[in-house]
Amino acid sequence: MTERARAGTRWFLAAVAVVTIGLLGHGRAPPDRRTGSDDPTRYLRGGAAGFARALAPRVFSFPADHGAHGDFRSEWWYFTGHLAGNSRPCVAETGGDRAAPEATTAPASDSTTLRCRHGDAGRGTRHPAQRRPGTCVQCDPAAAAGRHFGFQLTLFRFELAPTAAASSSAWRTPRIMLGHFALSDLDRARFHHEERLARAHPALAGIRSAPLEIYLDDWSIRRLPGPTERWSLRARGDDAAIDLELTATSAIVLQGDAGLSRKGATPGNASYYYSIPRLAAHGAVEVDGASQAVAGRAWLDREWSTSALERSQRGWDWFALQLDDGANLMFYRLRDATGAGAPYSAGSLQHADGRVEHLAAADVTLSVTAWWRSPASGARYPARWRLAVADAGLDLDIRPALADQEWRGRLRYWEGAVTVSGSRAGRGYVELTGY
Amino acid sequence: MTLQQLASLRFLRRHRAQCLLAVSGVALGVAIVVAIQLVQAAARQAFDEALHGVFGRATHVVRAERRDFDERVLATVRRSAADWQPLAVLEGPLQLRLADGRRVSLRVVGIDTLAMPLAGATAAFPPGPFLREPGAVVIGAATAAHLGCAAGTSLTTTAGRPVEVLAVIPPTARPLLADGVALADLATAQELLGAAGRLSRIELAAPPGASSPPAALQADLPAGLIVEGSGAGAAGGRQLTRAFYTNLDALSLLAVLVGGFMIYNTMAFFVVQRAPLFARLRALGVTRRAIAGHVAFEAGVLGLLGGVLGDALGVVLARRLAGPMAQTLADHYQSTGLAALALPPALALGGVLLALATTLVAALAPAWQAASLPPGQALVSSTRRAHEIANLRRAGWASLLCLVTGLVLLGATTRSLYAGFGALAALLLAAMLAVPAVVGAALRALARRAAGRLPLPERLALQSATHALARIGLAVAALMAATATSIGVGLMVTSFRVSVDDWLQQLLRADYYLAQEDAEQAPPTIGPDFAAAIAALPGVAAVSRVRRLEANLADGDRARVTAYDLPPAARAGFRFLDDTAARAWPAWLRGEAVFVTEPFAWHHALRPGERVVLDTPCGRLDRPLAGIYRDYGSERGAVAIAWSLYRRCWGDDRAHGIGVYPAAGGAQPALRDRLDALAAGAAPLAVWSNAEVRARSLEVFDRTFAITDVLTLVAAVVAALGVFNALLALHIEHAREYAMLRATGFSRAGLRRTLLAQTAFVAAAAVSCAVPVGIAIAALLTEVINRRSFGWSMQFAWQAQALAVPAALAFLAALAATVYPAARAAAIPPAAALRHD
Repeated sequence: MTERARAGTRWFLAAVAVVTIGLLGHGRAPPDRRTGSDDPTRYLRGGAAGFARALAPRVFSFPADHGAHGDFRSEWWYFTGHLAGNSRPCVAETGGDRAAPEATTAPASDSTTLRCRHGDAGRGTRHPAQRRPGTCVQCDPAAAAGRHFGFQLTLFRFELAPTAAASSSAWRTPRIMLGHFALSDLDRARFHHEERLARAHPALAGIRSAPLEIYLDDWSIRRLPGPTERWSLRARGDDAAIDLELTATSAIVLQGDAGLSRKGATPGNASYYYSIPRLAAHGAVEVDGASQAVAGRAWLDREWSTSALERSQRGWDWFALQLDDGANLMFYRLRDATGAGAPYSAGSLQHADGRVEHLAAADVTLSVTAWWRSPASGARYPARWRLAVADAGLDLDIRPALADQEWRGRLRYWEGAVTVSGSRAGRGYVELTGY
Repeated sequence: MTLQQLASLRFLRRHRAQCLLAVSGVALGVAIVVAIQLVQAAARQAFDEALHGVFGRATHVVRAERRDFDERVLATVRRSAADWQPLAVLEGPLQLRLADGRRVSLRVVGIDTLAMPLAGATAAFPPGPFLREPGAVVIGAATAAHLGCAAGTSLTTTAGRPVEVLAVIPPTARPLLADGVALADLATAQELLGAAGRLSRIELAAPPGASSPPAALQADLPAGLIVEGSGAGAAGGRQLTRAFYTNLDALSLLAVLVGGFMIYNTMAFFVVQRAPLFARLRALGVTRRAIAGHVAFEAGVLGLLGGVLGDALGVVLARRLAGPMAQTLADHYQSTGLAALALPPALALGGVLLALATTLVAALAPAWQAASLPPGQALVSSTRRAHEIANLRRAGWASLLCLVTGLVLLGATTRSLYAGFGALAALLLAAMLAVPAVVGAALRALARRAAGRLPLPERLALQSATHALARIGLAVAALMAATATSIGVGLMVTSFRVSVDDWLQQLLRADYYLAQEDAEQAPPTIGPDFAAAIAALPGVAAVSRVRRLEANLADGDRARVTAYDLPPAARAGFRFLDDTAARAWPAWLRGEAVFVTEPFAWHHALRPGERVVLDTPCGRLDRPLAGIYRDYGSERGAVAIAWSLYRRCWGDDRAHGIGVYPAAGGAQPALRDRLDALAAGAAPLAVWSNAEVRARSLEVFDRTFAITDVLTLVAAVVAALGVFNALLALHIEHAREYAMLRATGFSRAGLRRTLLAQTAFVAAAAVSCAVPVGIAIAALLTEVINRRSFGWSMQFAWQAQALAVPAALAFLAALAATVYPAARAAAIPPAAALRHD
């Protein structure tokens, strides 16, 4: 995307994705990209008839609400996180029944060891694509020591119409799945990202329930059965792959008004939004064919809606920070055309003891202290922030862990790992759209 | 504008009818060339599109040995070759019933819309409704014109399903949709074609830097599926279509020849007609150069007009030709049909340049000649005659030269197709150059023997015909060439047809054949149990089985392999080029030797005794070639192996088809019913009697060659028009002589009769020449061109019709062309014609 994007929030991603694949228009004319006179978000606003709207707070029920809400037009499962190479060697163990990598220590700890099935440990020469689900990746302890990664795995669901037409063909479906996977190799300063797009089809992409699995080709997000929040993530790009198991170490946070996150003044311009701000992650990362055991922390954002954006909204800056004292902070700033923060910017602060404070725009002071210009796209992004929440005694200095974490594909935005210092230390993820 | 140019324009204006003739002559010549080039280019494009995928970007393709396969394979391909942009495609024929009752066939190409390359496509049509709306299709402008529909038109399939034309893509936009192709979303295609869950192929586009798909892809594909470079497929495909283009090349060559002669003839007439005028101008002091310039100017004007008109006419003609052509492509090459027949600028320019160049050359030679005569002499007809005799002599030498060239080309080469074409062209040219002299000699001989016994008008006609030849010789040569070519092509097609029919009769030893409907690439479904059940039916003596396979040759080419399970009765169906090959049956049956078809042997330059090496599932198979048999079924040819070898090497025992050999006196109608019942149980089997197989095969054959009929007819019409033109010129030249005849008491009817008879004599002589030349062309086509391009040998079949029809047609056309000029010449009042002097 070379033209300047004009929308805000992840809804920007959703809107632009949909417009780019040119599918939503009930009006048949594609947007005029040269003049930029067409606001992509209009495609999400129009044609919502027949879909449910996020109008009032609702009662959430888990694990059911982890699954799809097909009566809303868009939905996503958005994982981000930080991983570090494990300094302890992999243990090759015989007779293990479990095929997937498995934690040997308490999930709450960031320090985990990976066990690989004996038979698979030495099969590093197989082509990655041939690896069957459940097969352990090869462990390479020497390469793993001390390396740091950021990752993002998102699967989006879009419905083109509220109902599906009857057909003998499995392709006659209104459901489209879009996947974004990125791996930031922080030590080698490389950013790998890959996009997948497919119609929902039993063999290709879609959402299965009981147990929940959102899948797109060989990418998958699965919730492992049981009362605890355990998730399994797999994704493989051209030269990077992840295979992770996540276990929640924090409670679910319902964002906004008991899960109703309003993005604008128009009724219904809102989403249902909850997060699991902290999950312990462990598993394996593969970069350039070499695989290594990793462990770290992840964040899950879940959101579904039919329309969300106001026309005046231009972009958003989203922060998901995990502080070392156990607190988790989410804040998004919606920007209008002047670049100023919009009134519907909001967030939440989850304390280590589980208490959640909801943050309004006025509760947070956010200023950009440095900028970075992408050499590839020429776009200029904020590259350092001061974020203060006076009531909570927070004054944070946020810096990208790697300058260039710009998505360049069908969509252009910046989403990357950041480090936090100041009154508290920590790590997190930031998303910048509309620059 | 100079005074002379003004004079030219005035002349052209005052001779509007002649101008029209000249321009139409030029235009027709150009039209033929342009039409053939257009159709050829369209055919080539259609084929390339089939090769390079819907969007012209496919470098590789995943396909099954069968025509379609389970769509779930796409998941594997997307995983193993994600960055190869896999595009799932389902393709198939769709019958539409139009509002006016016409039934037309479209080829639906269904694509996974989300995986299609989006650049540009979204501008041409809205992908949203394309993806969502059942029945939505997008077609090219040419298809829309054929269907008589526009964007928004609703159509209905013969099965009653609605089809909505969402958009019509102009020829300038992408994706470029071939004529007869409807692009649809995969869901729509599956619904319309009744092929839920099936794909025809998965197109892959190599990412930058990659040349071969990941090894994992091939490894992960289920059995029966292959990934191959569209380049590799292209090699086989190109070889396949090369033969088809060969036919077109031959026709194109004919078109250029006839068109060129046409133009030359027209212009020469235009100039010679004014030889006296030029002579007078010279006498008045106009320079030779000025006269040549004057003629060039006229030629330029006419050439330009004719060229532009010819371009337009060519497009119209190409559209007429496109129908049979598209059908031929579909019959033989599973092509998607013809692309839009829009005239590319280069071809349009080429047409005009051809017209200009030919008119200039054609006009300048006679003009220079006319201008180079000493001023007084051009007015004296005897001088002109001497000149014409010199021309004839020169033509004789040129003819001899062409003949020798042609013979040398033939003698010196054995395989080169181009040399074959060169020889064909040279020999035809030799015949054309010789025609005026030969016809003249024949007429003189006739005049000596028979003139005395003829009534006066005919006697006069015969004697004047030899003189007329000098003027209309070129037109006569063109007439002869067109007739001879018609005869030649007709005889070749007849021979070919007789050979094919003969081969079919020989081959079809069984009374009934059971074949899979979707036979060409489908996987076999006929198991040994089914074959045994057929064999056990009362009245059945034996069954044969056939299985189509493919294997790589040692040189990397892909070859068709056919496995046969043949009872003794069926073996007689093989006709070997060398009868002694039949002795090899025992070795063949044991799998120790193979047979190949004649085209296969030709394309791979194999002789009996040499080795045939195939890569098979059981490894490399190296067998001696025990015999070459006739087969017109495939241009690529095939290797025939024994069933035992197939079972051993491919580990399979299933067949694509079964032949049923009845016991002596078996009750046939009852047998057919039983077979029908059995076949209905085994879903996709069709039962054919051998007569039905033969009829259907010949039907396809006839359709293939329908286009040659059309073209030879066009050539004949052009030639007749040339005669018409030439006669008009002749009569203008001889107006004074006719006036003298009238003045000395000849009636108007008598003069008409003389002129008609004159043409009749000339045309009869020319057509007589065309018969032996046509036979020679037929011989060249069957023995040289067809053999060199297809590898087929065929027996020469004499068919009176193939000889008589074109000859009679040409003769009648020439006579018809005489009527108006003769009536016109006879109608001129003698006094008016004589007053000129």
